[in-house]
Amino acid sequence: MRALSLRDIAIMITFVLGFFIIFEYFVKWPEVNTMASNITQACTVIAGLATIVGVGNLTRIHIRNLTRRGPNYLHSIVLLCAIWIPLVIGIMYTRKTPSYVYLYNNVYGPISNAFFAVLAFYILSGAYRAFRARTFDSFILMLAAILVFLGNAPVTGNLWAGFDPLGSWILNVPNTAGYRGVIIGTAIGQTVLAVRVLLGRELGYLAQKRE
Amino acid sequence: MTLRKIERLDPRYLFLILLVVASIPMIIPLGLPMKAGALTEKAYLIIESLPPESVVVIDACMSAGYGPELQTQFVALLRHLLSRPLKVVIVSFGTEGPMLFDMALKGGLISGPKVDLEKYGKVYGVDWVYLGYIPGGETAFASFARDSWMTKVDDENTPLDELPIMQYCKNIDDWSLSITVTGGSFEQYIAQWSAAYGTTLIMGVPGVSAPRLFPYVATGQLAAMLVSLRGAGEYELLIKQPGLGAQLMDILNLTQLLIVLSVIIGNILYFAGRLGGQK
Amino acid sequence: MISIISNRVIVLLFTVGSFAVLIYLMFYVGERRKKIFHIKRLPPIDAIEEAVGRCVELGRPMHFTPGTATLTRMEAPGTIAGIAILGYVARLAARLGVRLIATCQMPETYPLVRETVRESFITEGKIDYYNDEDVIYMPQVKAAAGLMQREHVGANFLMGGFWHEGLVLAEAGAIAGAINIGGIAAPVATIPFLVICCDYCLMGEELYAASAYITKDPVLTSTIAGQDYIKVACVVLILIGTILSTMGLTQFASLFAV
Repeated sequence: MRALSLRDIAIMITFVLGFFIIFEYFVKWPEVNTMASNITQACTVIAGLATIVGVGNLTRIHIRNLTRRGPNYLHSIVLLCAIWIPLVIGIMYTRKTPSYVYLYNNVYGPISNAFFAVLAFYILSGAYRAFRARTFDSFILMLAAILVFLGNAPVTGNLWAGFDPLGSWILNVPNTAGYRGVIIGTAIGQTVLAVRVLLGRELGYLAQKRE
Repeated sequence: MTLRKIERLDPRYLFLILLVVASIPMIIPLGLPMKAGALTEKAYLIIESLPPESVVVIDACMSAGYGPELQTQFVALLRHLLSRPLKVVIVSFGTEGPMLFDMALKGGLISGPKVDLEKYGKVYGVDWVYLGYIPGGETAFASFARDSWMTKVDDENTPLDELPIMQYCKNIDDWSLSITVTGGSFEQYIAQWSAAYGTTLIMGVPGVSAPRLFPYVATGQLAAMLVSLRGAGEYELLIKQPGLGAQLMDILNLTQLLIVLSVIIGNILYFAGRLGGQK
Repeated sequence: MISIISNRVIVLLFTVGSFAVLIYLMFYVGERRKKIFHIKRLPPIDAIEEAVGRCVELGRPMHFTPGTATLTRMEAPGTIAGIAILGYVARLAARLGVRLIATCQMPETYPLVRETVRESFITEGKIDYYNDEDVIYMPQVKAAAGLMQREHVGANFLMGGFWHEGLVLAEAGAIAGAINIGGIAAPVATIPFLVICCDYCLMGEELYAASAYITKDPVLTSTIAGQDYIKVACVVLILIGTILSTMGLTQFASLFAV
């Protein structure tokens, strides 16, 4: 009998914990429910620790770029300051520290907003480029999108009272029906993938192929 | 040739057009008319019809990325809750919730004018409380429903047994209404609060996520929804306290109409090009 | 005192039944009988080779991202499926000598992405061509969009879980002149965005079927067959419930209320 490898141990942990959490969902057993809750919280904490890996990776790459005077090394300085200054301030002081609040409200907040606002520009360019009625299906898609947009714009209710109910009908009936079908199909697919992972037949999460 | 050039327009020209169109209402406020949609009105009526002294739990789970979309919804809901004789328990399951909650109270660029607590005559610890950030995601939602005292202290580290309001809020059975203003984890809230315990749940959601939640509205698992900036603007009109949401509605109107126009023009050019090519 | 939660009994029975069907198909039909179920053609997967070939001809790199979902939420299976496809794309890249830039937006997926790409290059015997600096942790998706435009990528693969950023990445790829191949199962709300903006897109359970389609492995194809059998059972239950509820008999539907 060969010795257990790290991979085997990882598969066993996945099997035991995975089926335990599934079992816990169906039973009312205080000790089991509490243990499952604690395990899930522990997993959340472990996943949070992965942030350290990401921050470490970014720091390593950009310090290397900086020391070698690589391309855009000044940008690396900005990035390193952007990561470490708020981190240090946040850890050393509370979130109510004026400097932390200033950084959040005047630097992080507006930049985050701007990043999300970029979506509007890409929606416009995507709508202009991609909403072409090349086939009957794409014509229906385009028509539905136009009607929902017109229903969503509050002012169009004053042009024709029917835009809002029509847009709402599209969202409540065909959209809901389609989403339900996709949600059920996706959920079944997730279940199947979960079974493959729990039984050790899918090793993508270990960055390994199945033999 | 010109038509083809316009059809394959460099996207940066489109970005410029959008920038100009979105800037117009900021310089010349248009005040385009609007009326509240059915879901927003339903959310308003649910809160308006709560008996006095009802416990309402509201989760400030916004993030700066969603900007004024969620922040204005939260501010509008908070104003309405504070204007009624209710017990409001505020909590944050998202990491940025506490920062944005502070911004809501003090006022800010994406928040609009501050929520003037003195105007509502509410006493902290008696009429409302903020429990701070609770980490853990779905596990935290489930745990908080089972035990609303799980944090032991509020955001200012005051023990919960020193806050009279918390005597009325031990677990989800004491909640008359739960509200969450969030950019994600929608199904988890529905699963852990509404589906598990049957509590009435209202959500404030970004526009991109609304279509996926209509099935839950249809089944009643989600009682009502504020969708995007429009929901916030409509809600401000319903509570007769216009704020940033109502101010930004003009921009929303014009940009949505611009997108519709771009789809129509793109298709006209496409078919004109095909017909020209066939000739 | 142990008890089964009463309003979850039917769900428990359905779950046990589904698991039983899947285990039978995997271990008996797939592993012992080695039966390979036919999976319908998935054009996005066939297009992967076409896209890689395009990059070879144009001399441009490819970009791959497994999405912005974590490994701890309901979008995790999509991320795992995306990483499985990354392995396939990385092997093609190594074989044909195309530069592959892999970006990931979540820190916990970064080690998996890096190891997957590295293992793929080792499998193809091209470890010397593997560049650690081409696997990048980029917390902000817009940075990946900028990278695609600076590097003039020839193909852009978006396989995993995306929120609104999926649209940004797909559009950025289109602006850079890349062929966009997407795949998304959850969150469901982003599927329309990727379908519109990508040249090819795997939707929903097609993403989970992709690794079975690529490898033609008997065990994996058996699980896809099991997926379809469970779906048929769901359709039958929905039809029965709909007919009975329409007739005013809601007891059947209320059995499934959780």
